[in-house]
Amino acid sequence: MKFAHFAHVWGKPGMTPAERYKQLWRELELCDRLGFDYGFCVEHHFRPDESWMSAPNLYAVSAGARTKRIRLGGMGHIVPLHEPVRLAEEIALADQMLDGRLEVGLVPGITPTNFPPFGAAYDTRREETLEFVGFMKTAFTEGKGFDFDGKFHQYKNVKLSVNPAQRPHPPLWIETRDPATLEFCAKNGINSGYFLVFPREHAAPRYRTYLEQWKAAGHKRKPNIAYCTVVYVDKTDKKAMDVAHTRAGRAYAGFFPPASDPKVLREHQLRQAEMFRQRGEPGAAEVMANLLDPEYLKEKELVIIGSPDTVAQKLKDQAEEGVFNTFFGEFNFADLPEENLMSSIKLFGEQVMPQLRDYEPF
Amino acid sequence: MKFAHFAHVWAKPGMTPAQRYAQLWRELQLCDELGFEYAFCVEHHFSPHESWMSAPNLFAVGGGARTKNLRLGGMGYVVPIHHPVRLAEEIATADQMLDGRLEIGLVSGVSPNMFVPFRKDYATRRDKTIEFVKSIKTLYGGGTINGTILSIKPVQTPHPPIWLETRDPATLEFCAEEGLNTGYFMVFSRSETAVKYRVYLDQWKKAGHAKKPNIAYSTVIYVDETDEKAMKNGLKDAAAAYRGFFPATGDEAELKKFQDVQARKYDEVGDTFAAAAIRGLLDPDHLLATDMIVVGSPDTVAKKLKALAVEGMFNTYLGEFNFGALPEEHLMRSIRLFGTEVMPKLRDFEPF
Repeated sequence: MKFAHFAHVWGKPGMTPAERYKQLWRELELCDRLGFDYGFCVEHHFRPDESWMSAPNLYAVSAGARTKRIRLGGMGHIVPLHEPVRLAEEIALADQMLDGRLEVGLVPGITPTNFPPFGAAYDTRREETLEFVGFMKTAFTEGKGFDFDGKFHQYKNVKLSVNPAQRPHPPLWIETRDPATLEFCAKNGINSGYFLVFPREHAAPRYRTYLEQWKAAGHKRKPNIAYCTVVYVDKTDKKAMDVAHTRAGRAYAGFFPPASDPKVLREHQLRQAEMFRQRGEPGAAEVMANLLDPEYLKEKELVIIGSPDTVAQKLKDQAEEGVFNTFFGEFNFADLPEENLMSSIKLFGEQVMPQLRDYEPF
Repeated sequence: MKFAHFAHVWAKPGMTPAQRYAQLWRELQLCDELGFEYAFCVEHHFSPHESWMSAPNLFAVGGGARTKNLRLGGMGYVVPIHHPVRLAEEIATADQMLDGRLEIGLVSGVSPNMFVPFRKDYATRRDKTIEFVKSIKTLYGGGTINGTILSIKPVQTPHPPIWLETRDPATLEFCAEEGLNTGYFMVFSRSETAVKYRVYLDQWKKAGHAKKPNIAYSTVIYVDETDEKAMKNGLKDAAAAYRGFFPATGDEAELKKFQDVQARKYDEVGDTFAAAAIRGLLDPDHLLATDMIVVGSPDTVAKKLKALAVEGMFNTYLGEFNFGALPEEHLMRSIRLFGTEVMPKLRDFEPF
């Protein structure tokens, strides 16, 4: 298995963004020393109460300057909110500045309110995201000009100043559960993954299909399939639960529009659950409706809290059930104090990762 | 006077971009140790044979992570080819990552070719740039634009220092009123530009700002132990520095033609200095005769810079240290001599 430090870069009480970023670099420096494979961040906008990260390439270059081996990137760039040429340029620059340690995560975006300020279209977001994959592959031609005739974007005789250090391009990821998108990923050699909101038992059959399509496409390596959730490790199960159980129930509060009144927050939650129900995803709807209930999260094993042995065992079981070989751990959540945060990362790196390094769920 | 390391981040022969950036960070670390105030980079696009820098915010956070006191930024963002909301977000993020060491340099863009792939209008570039100044002041002041509120604001309140490099009288008046620094590039006549900046300084005074503005001037610079050594080690490369301004060609006559095409744009508006500058941009004799490059011993360079600052009304010098095929050994010695022997001589000098 492979392991990532995953960061929404949630705002922390009593911290400025500058202090929060410094803490983030301390987390990543520790992960780098411990041999984590990846560090990833989100791209979120217009929510001062939630995530403080809208620019994954700034994250990657800043963190890259402070680390030696860890591979970094956004998970992911919300493609329809970007001008494709500028995004491709920045990916190339960041990869050069990282000397080939960039990972490129792409997402079509999920929050409709992110789109209007950028003048971007929500309905065509998936198609636009897939088009960008082809665009990037075309744009990263060594020193030559290129034309691109896409449905959404067309270019004539453009020549990028810089190509990525990794040829033909850094590894690509698209987090998705959509069967058509997964098929596209399998054909094009793109890693994938999903989030705790999608129940593992529902996700697994889709990823098994993706694995078959991947095999049929004849790629040399196995794909990475990622699963992302909150994780907390302490010396004993009891200590871990005491510190993280209720906090984990507050981790994802920012998924819903800000509300100081619990009743209003509950209404927001039920509305989002209803959206998933209408999309034909009752499993995700149920998780959404219970995402802030620590007892529910514990019972369904949607967050991972415990001693190193417990966490290793749980992760192994979940990887088996959910068909993932890469774990994206969100270590810094709610008002978890830095002392606990850093010891959790350390225990994970020193006592959990070695138990799972050689384990391959597929 | 104040001093900046200025970088087009020109492509260097035999180097990959990764190697070039690694070298750039070494330059900036040295500048930081020597007490340079600023480091700036350009935003250029679609020019693999010339500049390797299209994203000043990546430069700022990459440079910021490796330095302690240096203030960093683009000089400048080509505003009209950015989405204003994203640029405002990234500036705020970069300033937070730099813990308040970001400078905001804005330009409206010169090369029409850069606008085409971004599908942006060239004609309205100046208006867009000025509108952006107003937008960030609103957003960073806690206001909203069409309901948009940023997740984070910059560390520096009300906003990081803003620069808008221009010689346009109307834009200069806007800069003076709004408290924006300005500056110009060595292809323009110092004495003629000084006349415009005197008006800007009067307007600045009238606007009642507490501090003086920064006016920047930028050239290629090379310092060595003696004048002879400086000429021997630096002149040839200094004269090749701006080669990338013109399209690639191996044919001398064709190159002259490229230069002439660009020079004629200045002929048309009666700017004889700039027209001659473009025609002589790769000619060491012309560059030296017009002081468009600064090459010499520490004493010579200090004396020269002082004279240029008086003539050209600038109090901030943006030195382009890395150019042509200049070897790193010479490059680093030049920066070190500048920091240890030139800067102290000019620190207390105030041209206005």
